[in-house]
Amino acid sequence: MKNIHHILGGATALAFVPALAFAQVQLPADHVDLGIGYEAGALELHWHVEDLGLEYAPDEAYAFIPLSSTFTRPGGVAWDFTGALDGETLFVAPGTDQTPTVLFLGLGSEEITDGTFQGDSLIFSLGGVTGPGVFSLWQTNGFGAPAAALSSVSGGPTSFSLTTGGHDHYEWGFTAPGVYELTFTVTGTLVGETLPIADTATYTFAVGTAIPEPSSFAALAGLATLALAATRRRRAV
Amino acid sequence: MITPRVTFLRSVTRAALALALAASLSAQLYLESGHIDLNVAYAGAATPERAAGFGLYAHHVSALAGGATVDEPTDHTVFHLPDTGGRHPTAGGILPFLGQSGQPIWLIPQNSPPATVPWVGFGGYGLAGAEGSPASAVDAFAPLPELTGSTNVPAVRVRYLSALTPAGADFALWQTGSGGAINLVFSNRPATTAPQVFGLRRNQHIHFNWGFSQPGYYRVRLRLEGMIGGSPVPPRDVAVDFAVSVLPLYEQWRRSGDRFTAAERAARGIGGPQADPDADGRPNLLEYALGTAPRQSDTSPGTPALTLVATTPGPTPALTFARIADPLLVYRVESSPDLAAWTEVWTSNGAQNLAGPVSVPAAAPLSTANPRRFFRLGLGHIE
Repeated sequence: MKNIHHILGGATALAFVPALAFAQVQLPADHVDLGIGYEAGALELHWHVEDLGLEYAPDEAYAFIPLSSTFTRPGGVAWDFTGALDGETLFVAPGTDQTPTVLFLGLGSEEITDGTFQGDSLIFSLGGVTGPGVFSLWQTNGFGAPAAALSSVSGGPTSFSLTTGGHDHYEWGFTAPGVYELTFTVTGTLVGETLPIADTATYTFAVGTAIPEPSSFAALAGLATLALAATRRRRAV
Repeated sequence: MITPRVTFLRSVTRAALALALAASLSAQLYLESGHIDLNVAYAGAATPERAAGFGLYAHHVSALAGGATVDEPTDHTVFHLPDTGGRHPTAGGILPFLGQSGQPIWLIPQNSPPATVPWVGFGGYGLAGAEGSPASAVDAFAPLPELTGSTNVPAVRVRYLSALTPAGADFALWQTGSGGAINLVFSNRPATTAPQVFGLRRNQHIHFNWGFSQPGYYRVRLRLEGMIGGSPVPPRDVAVDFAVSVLPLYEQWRRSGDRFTAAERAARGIGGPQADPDADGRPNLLEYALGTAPRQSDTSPGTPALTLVATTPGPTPALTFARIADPLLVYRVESSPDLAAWTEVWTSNGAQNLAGPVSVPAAAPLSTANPRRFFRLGLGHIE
């Protein structure tokens, strides 16, 4: 795991590993960002839990969306990117912080200072998607119209540009309960360079009650539930 | 026009033409881009930094502070929403609470704002706090029953009181849901169904769409409320100002030429209306109103001067100065025989403010019994 510092007593850690070795950390139903950092010449994807000031590697934690967090797909072709039919239910991590019982998930790159990447922008793209349904990412504008950013529907958008140095929020939609593995790649070209750099990571989203299968990093994730402190410096807004 | 509130800078003019600052004018920090949260703070007791009770602060990254995060009281801030990025030419009436069909509206969106637009949200962090702070000022408050799923989360209410707007203009605050549902929160339209209040949880970070139907100045008045220990704490009324597709002439003057950089404008001690960076005794607002240079100590022709007008039985003293054509300025000339009793002899504001020299005579000529006359020029700016 890059750039993340754990504060953990060694003996205490060993004692707790067996009990926690079978699950990734479930992210709290708070403000969390899928974080994009840049350190030591490399882009780095991670989770950032705003309210607790914690960071996790992508495979150390998973996003949980309760079955109660839904909406009905409106009519009109503008919503086809969701993969749901008119009137069908979509499960969503919403783009506005409506309730403390549902994850409020954004995309954040506050750690990247202006002038680092050409155009102060990065390309965020969707690679592989596994799971029982369709994943899509969008925003609704002030008039209620959707602007699709990503979709696993065939022919849907698979990348978009984001500005570094800030963060923003999106609707994270899924057409069916279950566990999804979403692979994202972030790409950018440093100022003064000609070749882009990138980082790719797979993130787990659990819609409903399912718990992710253990992974090779599960033990480390268990430790993270005990005590984790991130020293990454962020802008506070 | 937001309000008829006028604050005067006053200069006392006598033989030596001494100028003295006698009143204050609240400084204005224009926030025009970037991520800004209206941060609710609370203090049980006064501190050196702030008064007791609620406060609302514009929590933003400040270039003046070297990129550090700063909490500026909203009394000192104006959010400038320009046409570029903010104007939607024919979007009026699409939303039933905002504008007329086919007319433009101006919008600060809840997400992905253009770089030219201030992205204004709300934060429950507390003064000098930040999202993720271990302790927020909102911690002390009781949960709000109306916040679903928040039975254990401290929270405060942000209540809409009123909006001072251009004549006939609409103001609204709303969110759009995941499926595009419009959830109106504040509206200045009569008989609106907007709840006119929302709950803000400890450490919550929330964005809305802010809509305006006309260019001009808007002052949104809000009330901060909450309960501590089973009892309501004294509410606090606060104001949030917006300049939509306009900037006061005074602000345009500050920006033109090389008078003040953005950082200097944000520093009240340099670019504020009361500041006197060239140390010539004339604060910036007076330099502006008299057409003189704020960064060059001088005695230019705009300087107020005493003149004598030939009248019978004796000459009448007059105060002569240069006026500029800013309708937001209020000029007021008073005279006194003894520096104790002052009488207003002339005032000018609005369309009366024509550019050029002005000579204001005293009410009566000098005489043996009344051989002295003092003048003072008061200057106000309608905020």
